[in-house]
Amino acid sequence: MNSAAIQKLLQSHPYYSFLTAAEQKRLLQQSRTLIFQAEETILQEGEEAQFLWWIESGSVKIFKLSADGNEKILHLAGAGESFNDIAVFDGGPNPANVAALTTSQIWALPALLLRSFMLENPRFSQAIIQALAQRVRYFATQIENLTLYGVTARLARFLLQQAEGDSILEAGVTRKAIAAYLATTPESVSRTLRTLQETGAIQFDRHRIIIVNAALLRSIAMI
Amino acid sequence: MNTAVPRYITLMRTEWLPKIDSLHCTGCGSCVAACPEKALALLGQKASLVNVAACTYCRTCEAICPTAAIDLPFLICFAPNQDLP
Repeated sequence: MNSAAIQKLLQSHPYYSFLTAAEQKRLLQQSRTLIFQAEETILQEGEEAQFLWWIESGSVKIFKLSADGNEKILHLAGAGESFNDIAVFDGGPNPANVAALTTSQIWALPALLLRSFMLENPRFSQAIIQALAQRVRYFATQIENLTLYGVTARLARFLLQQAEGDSILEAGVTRKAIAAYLATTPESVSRTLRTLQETGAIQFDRHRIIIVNAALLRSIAMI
Repeated sequence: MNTAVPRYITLMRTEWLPKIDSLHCTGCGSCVAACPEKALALLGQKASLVNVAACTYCRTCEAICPTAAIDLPFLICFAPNQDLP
């Protein structure tokens, strides 16, 4: 990616764009880019957070590991998004593990410098608060989904939200990723997809899950 | 980030085929025996997609694998005229 394209992608970040031109220049001068291969670990939970990580290209998974080694994906991030924001701004350790899903080019932006900008630039601080508040709202929705709705409704919601989201060429979601996101098992996802197929809400067409009756799926999703 | 489910950009693929994780595959042969198209075989005691053209993406291998070592990525989309509430 050339520098103009990188700048354009950086400007779409929820709070980077609120830095002054001089601050942006200083930040990029003190940052470095790293390349991670698929499955390569980027961060480990509990370690000191020295950087805010910004994805120039590729994608990563942010996940927790249970005592028996099962992986629970908290969030997936792609080009233009950052991760480990929480630890950078509260000064605590990395709250989760992060690994690359595909070959990824990622920038490490120094946490100390970002914290100093917060003291100097109120618009930047306000943008961070807004981004973190949106994240709180997102996790509140997650808690609502987990506590109020069964697997069938959660899966129906997931399918609708994925289909309504920006489609990305050649993207795909696996049964395992759906299970991790919905806090259930891959077997349960398969059973529930079969049930939704039998009701006539969805159809499988090779690698596509096609929503053929959106009204029915919305009613199952309790939307 | 907004309140919507994050976009799943998990696998950038040029072709849609079962993905076999050789680290988790125990070479038990369940998928090889179950595949209705005989697209799979054991190579070096690991399951492998040896007949790519035969794979119909039927999900049998994914469902039968006892170690969840096989993944089939899917695109989720609306049928035409189904994308408006």
